[in-house]
Amino acid sequence: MRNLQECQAEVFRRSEERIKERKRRRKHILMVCLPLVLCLTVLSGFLLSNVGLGKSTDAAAPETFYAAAGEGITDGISVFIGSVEVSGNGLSHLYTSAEDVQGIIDFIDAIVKTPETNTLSESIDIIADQSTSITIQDDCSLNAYKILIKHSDGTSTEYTLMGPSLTNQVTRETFHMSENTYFALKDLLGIPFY
Amino acid sequence: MDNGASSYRRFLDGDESAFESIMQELFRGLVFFLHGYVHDIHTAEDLAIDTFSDLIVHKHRYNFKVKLKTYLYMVGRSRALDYIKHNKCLAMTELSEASSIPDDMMSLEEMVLADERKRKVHAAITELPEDMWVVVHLIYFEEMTYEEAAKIMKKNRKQIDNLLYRAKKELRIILGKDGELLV
Repeated sequence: MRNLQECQAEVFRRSEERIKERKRRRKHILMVCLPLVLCLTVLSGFLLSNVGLGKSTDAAAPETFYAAAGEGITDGISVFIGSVEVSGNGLSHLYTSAEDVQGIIDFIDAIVKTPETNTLSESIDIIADQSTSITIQDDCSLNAYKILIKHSDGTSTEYTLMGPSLTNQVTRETFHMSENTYFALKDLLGIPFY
Repeated sequence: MDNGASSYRRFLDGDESAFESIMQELFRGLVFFLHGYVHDIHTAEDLAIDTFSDLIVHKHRYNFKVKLKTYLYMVGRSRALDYIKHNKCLAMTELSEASSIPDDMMSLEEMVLADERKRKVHAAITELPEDMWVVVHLIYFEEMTYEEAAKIMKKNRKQIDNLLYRAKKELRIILGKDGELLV
């Protein structure tokens, strides 16, 4: 067993050693962590600037398209959805909210993809032939409305809604709807029923 | 007597000689206390040296709210427990060898426990379970308060009270007649 002086000397020796070791470890941590922190800072700055760039292109979009862009929020990132403009007969609606735009596009897509056989226009034709169509024609209001859909990729599609017939102005295809679908579409587009 | 706190304050103020007085006052007692855990005088001494070097390396860990002795015993105890944890295979001593306690230990015991009766009791308490041994050692041999012992052992006052009661009961059996001397 060592005497007290030896022990004290040992205490000081070990303390010095431990202090040196602590300094060395601190230095080592700094040397490892500093580049790591710098890398992370640069990377996050780069990512942030990219997001900012994305936003600025989105912001430029309304200038390219004449209407305000509809934006949907997905995982905190702003996504351009598109817009729908309905005009005609003194009516003018612009839909920009993601929900509205998507709803209208889905509805029109459904009409285009599954043309209905027993259509209202046919019924009207039949009824018109029977010369009892005046009331129904008035109800159906055969005024034409222009539906302009701006897609998120910058393309646009123009439809004309004339009575229960929807015409794609680009392909000149006409799709006929049933009475229920027609009224549902009018309701969706905010076109008055009278 | 502030058990080294004022000396430590002087040491922090730059008086290196103050550390010597702390060592003189507390080192042997700490080695003796740690020996109860590790059962090896050299390891106990090593741990005590490490404990004291903590005072130099981490100068502001001790906040002067408890006695320096209590703080050192707390640090020493956790170092001893760490040592035991990392060296799980403790050296087992055969009963036949147990009587031949190393000279170093004998001299240390003589230094720390000058009183013959105290030495007899101390020999008896080594037969107690660890917790009981520690509590008796701290209260009766280091003359610490229940609160200080509780701090060192990381227990509350009631637990210390209970431990001490059970330890005394056991000691009476071990010491036989002498046990009656325990108050």
